[in-house]
Amino acid sequence: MKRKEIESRIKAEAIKEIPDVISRINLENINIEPKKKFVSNFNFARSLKVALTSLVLIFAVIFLINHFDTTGTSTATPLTNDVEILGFQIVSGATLLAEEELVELSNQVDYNIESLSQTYLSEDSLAIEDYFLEIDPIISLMEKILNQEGSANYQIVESDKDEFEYAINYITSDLSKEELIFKIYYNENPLNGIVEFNDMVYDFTIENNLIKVTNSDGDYLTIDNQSDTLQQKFNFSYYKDNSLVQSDLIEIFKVNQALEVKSTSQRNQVIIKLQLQRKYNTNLDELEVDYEIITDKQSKQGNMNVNLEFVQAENRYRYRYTVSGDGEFERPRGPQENPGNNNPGRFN
Amino acid sequence: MKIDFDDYIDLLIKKDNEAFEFVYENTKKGVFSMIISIVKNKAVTEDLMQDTYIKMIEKIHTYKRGRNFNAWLIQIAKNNALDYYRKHKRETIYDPQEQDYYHKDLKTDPVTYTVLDLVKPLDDLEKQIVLLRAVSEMKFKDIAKIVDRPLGTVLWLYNKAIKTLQEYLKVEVEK
Repeated sequence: MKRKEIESRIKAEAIKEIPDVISRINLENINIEPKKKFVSNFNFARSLKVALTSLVLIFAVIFLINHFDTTGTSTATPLTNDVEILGFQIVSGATLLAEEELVELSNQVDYNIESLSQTYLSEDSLAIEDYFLEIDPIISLMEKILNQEGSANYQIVESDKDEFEYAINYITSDLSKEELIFKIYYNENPLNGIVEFNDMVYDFTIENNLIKVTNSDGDYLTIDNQSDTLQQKFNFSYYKDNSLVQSDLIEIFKVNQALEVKSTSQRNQVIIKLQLQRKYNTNLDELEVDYEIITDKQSKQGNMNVNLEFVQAENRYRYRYTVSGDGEFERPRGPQENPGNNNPGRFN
Repeated sequence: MKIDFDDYIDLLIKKDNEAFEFVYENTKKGVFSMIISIVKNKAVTEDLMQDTYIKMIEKIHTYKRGRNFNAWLIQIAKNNALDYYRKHKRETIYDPQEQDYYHKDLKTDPVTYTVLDLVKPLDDLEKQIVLLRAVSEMKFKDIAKIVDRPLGTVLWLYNKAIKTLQEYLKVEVEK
């Protein structure tokens, strides 16, 4: 039975069984809770203190940026040959398509009804936690691509699929140092193939330097290599129902033999800029992230660290975002949250 | 055509019956799907559906215009169903024959929905995702927000659930 047939059967059965409760509801008997008013807790002394502290920090950051800009950056492009560049693009495209399908940035919904009534004060301020759903996929992607100290790790292997002539294994490691293998199979004439990762399979085609990665629903992501001799950058555009939904510009740098990535995501009127670098530790690695969120009315910038945290009881990893000035936040890690296998964990 | 529920908010605040009927007819599939993925009993589902729409009106001022009204409403339904589940958790008993948990009161009234037989081999989260997608035709990104999981996980679980159902329904047909 095909997927569409299963969906149709479930839908038809459900529609027959939906109870009619509207006749049991009398609107006149319902008391609408009054609208909560905005309450300002402005404290002049505290604000002055924050402003002065911020000023000192800004000067310190400017000094540090100027200092490291002249000493750390190398002009060498990080991806050195066609296989690395192809692998990077296809792996990133497949990961973004799977992880992200680029969530609607400006359509934020606060789903927790209890907190809605309790934290109504946040209407006029930009809270980073409102944008985690959009940041998570980029973090997940960076776990996979920000792991080479110099060059990408790949193996050209013999294809074990009759329909494809060539195969490349693109090998990365996540923050828990678990090895991840993306298997890319392709033909040269015409240039097309598939990328396999866990149970996910995506088709890709390459035409006029434009890579197109497509999922089973027919939605796709195009990757335009806009690199020049000095700078490697790739523009990822996500199309849903053949309409452009979101674009991401990803620029890769090599700083002190390590990769650094700048990501700029744009959707509707919201822009999220991230600059990420991986910090290597003995046990679990972490990501150091500078962020900037820009909406049509507000903007916010800062930095955060993203660590992995193992939840013993649930046998899975989750992210812990430590956001400067905003505290710590736990986030689900996505399809690779279980150690030792690549299956998603279960809810409680 | 996409419905903009924001056009109906002021009318709902005025308790306009026609607007309420319109909103009800266009959201009941999602609300029903969410509730039966958590609570299996017919009588309880009907009560929770009623309660969801009453709370929708009571808390209409907490909805922020420009956001996803349908997802907001389904979250109310989810919270209602989970609250019910938590309140009655201590009263559940395990039935080894059925390999499932039943609420004591419901043990004598095991009337449930046929659609749940179709998704029987799935766990609760998979049921939620499949029902919201198949019955309510919600976008995966909206489902991801409701179940608070990354989109990739939801897509992965959905594909896995469909494969499970393909096998399950094949066996059922053969029987």
